[in-house]
Amino acid sequence: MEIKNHLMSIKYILIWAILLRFLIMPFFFHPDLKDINLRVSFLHIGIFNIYEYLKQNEFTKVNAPDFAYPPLAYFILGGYQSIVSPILGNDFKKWLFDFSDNKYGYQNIFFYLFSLKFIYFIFDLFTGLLIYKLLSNSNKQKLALSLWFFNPINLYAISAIGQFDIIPTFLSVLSYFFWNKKKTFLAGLSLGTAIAFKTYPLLFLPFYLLTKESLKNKIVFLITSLGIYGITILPFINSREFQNDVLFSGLSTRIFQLKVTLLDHQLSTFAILYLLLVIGYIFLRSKIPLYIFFIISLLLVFSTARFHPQWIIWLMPFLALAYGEGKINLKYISLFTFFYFIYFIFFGDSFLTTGLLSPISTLYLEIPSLTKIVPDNYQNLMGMFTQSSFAIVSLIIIIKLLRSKTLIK
Amino acid sequence: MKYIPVIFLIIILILPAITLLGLRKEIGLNQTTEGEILFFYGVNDYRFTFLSPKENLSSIVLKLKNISIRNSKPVSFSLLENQEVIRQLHINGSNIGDPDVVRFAFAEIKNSKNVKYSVILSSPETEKNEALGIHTNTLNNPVIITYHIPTSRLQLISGVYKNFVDKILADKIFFITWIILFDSIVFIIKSIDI
Repeated sequence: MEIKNHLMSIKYILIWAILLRFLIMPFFFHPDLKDINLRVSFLHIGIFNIYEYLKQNEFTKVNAPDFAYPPLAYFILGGYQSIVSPILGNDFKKWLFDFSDNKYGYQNIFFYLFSLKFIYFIFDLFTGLLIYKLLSNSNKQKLALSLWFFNPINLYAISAIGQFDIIPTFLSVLSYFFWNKKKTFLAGLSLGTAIAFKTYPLLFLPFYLLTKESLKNKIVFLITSLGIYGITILPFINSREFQNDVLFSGLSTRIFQLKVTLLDHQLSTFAILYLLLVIGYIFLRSKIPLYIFFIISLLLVFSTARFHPQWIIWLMPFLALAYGEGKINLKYISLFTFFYFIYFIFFGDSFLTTGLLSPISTLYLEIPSLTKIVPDNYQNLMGMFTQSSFAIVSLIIIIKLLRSKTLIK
Repeated sequence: MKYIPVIFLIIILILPAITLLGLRKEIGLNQTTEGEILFFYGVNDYRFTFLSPKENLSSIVLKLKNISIRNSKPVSFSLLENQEVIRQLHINGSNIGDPDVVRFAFAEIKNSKNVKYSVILSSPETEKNEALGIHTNTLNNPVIITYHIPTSRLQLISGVYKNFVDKILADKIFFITWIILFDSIVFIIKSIDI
């Protein structure tokens, strides 16, 4: 299923992309956006170790006891909030600390949502432009750009939910972009910064190190990427709160939870599959581009762990590249998108569906969850079915990508 | 391909309307301003009246407070029309948080529009030191939201869209920033050579 590109200029794509995002950002709300912004708001009063502070402050130790992300996320998001908060008025701080149902009714809620998500919008746009640059030799350059800007997953996870995953995603793509341009130092710097936001890009590191690049470049890349990450976490490394909330948090260890028993030993399914993939890369690196292995690594994460909706963003730019280079067609991407939404409709969190519209009217909070169409006794079964279906579709895409061999120059 | 963003635009615009088709109740009275907490215990009941703005009254939400979740005594909610109890519910104090939004749901009252109702909250077994609170505004009107079974879906949808537009226009700084920012970005994109 291929679509011809009729009269779509890049300006047309960009203007529509911006319009759609401007129509979604202010009016859709997920509580995680507010929760994260509550935590990073303490930067404004000079709090450095947020992990310890949240457990000491009388209010936060009850309502917001942990910050599950690396320090760079705190400093960048906190810094951004310090810049925009003066224009948001006096009620903004009150809104951040409001855990009552009144939080939907603030007169300026649209302005809060729009302003807090604007930073993600910038990274969203620049990720699209990087995809466009990376596909400069492809005749599907504009179609891939359209896929990035006009796919419902991106609109949903970046503009509607509004999580900061787009920042490490952009940095991961930037790293790949610099790597392709043989700018090893900048590639390492970008990947290291991405890891300092969210640790998942660490999964890409072994593939970079196993490419045919010179040993010197690989060492530069390794030192820069891990160096940046190390520098940002070094001041916190001895903090027990940081260790518990970030390094060994449920979020970090979740991908290893699914286990298989081999010779009386319980082993992580993801770890085994990932290791096989890394070994496979050594044999396939001449035939399959590096970024395909990024996609497969992430698909393995999504197939073996109960993931958050915004995690999918990590994968989307690389999927757009695969589409732009003819490695996968829209039929598979549509199937993937369909099962992604089915998965989250039955996730059991109304804020992933109707609740997102709560700033428009609190009536949306009164709409019974779509999961109710399935009797209570079958809820768990339905959850397993949707998760398994998504895993199967991911597996189909992995096979499709591995079969799309082309000689890498 | 050219029409895909247009299709998305249409979806975004009609999504709030389509979603409302799944709604089983709508909001009537909505008083969420708070400033005081009044307490009820023993023979000191809390009583207030309100005018139902819509038909089919089916539940009332109040913001209550059980300090340190100390109270575990029976609590009665009575709804009266012309001094006659027409609905009564009993809960336990331990089910009330500190504070908590508590919903009192009952069989719908068909002809409730413009009818004056009274609510009595009482807890005769409660001592003064475990009194239950109700959040009110500074004029002693309680924080209250009433819910009604919708009579007309179309009216409901048009009402939500109208309130939505009013809410956007009420925040002038947002509206102006939003428009100016969009226009500026579009202007920049149009003027640069990509």
